[in-house]
Amino acid sequence: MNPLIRMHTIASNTFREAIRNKLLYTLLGFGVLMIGAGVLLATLSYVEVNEILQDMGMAAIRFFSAGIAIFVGIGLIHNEVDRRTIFTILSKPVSRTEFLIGKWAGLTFTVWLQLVLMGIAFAIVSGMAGAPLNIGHVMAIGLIGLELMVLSQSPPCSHPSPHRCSPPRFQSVSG
Amino acid sequence: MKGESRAVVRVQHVVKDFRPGFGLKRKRVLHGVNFEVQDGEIFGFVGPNGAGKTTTLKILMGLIRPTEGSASILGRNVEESEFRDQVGFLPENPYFYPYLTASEILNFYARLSGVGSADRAARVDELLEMVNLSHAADARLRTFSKGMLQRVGVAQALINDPKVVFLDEPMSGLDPIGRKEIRDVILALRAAGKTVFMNTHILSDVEMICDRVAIIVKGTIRHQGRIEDFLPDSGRTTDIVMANLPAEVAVELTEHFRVVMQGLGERLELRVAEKDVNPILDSGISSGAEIISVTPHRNSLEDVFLDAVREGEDV
Repeated sequence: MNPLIRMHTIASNTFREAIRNKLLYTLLGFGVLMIGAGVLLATLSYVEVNEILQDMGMAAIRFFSAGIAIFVGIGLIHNEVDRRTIFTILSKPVSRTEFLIGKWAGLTFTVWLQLVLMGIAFAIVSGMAGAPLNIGHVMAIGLIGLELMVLSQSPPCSHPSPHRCSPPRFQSVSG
Repeated sequence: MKGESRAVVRVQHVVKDFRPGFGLKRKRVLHGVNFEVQDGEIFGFVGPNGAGKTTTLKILMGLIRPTEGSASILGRNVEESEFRDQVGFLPENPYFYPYLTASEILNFYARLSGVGSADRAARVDELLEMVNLSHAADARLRTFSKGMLQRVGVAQALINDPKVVFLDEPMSGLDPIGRKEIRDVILALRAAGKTVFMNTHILSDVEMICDRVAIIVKGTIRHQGRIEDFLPDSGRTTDIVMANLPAEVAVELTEHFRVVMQGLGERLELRVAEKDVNPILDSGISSGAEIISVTPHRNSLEDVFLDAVREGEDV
């Protein structure tokens, strides 16, 4: 049996679960609002208006993306253990490593999706304010994406109940 | 091969300690549990709450590790995951992703179990039909009743056509019709040559469908064997209910016969050995007592279970 199919199945389901989280939309909404608020902040200065606008936008993207990765991710494993859905999954031929990688991949895809949405909002706000966009902005967003990949592994690997499933002791899922 | 053990599940000297809270003190919940489940049988694992049934089942499912001892399924160590495509598991009070439909959740478990895409849709339909949920195949699980979720749980346990099925309280939350349906599914599994391991509190179901049973109390197996071995004919008793039995006659009866007496208002209920029924009735009638009822009472699994629990509490 192909472990990639099992990890893909868990990742797809994690994505479906994550996009139902209201917190995701709240943080995404605030992120977009902060990107828009850059326009107001930029008017306070006579110089470097475009830079202030775009720095503010990038900071908002980075801050709120990290918030989404942490706060949405933190519930993903906890809910599986709390609702005991993990029992039926691990009773199938799924190893704990495959389960964790699947969870991480699903969360990473979710944060990438919101990163793209915030990136689009950033491009629209910059375009409307007449601030020029270049390849540097795309690369910056891409690097934030890489950073989020690393950050997304921390919630699954730092479950609040150590007796249950933080990975080093993941074998001792107790009940 | 002749004489070879056909044990499909083997639990040997399993001990499990938990550490409640952050202290160093450990609590032992399983004390050297031993049993075997033979190929093609329905094995009932019964015990009161907190006896260690679910802990044993979690060890068998590889969800927790035993502190000592070993457990194997189909000859493979339970800590491996590769052979689990031959195992089905229904946890107690199963919970599923509420945003998925019945059909989607079975597809999800089918993919995890390695059911090929060509067979998947047919298998899902077949199982939904088996647990009488075809009408709700496209309904979200959040709209399901507890009994319907239990049936989805049974269906997901069978999605990979397993050789061994582990069911934790499979009748929990089901109405009498649902219970009958699940009993029929379990019997059909045995007829198809599958092995079924069932944790349950419902002793009447165990008596009705299990081939062998183990009773666990406070982490120790108190009894195990075939159902018939638990219910010997020699243990048959009769309940006699009398009214107006004079006190001195009652005392006399307890001195001469092995009688368990219980007062029911002005009436007295006597549980007596089958061979003592006639002399006790004669004594009662001759002393002017009124015989209300005479009920033959066969030892049930419940009696054995209650005795085992009492023994366990005394230890």
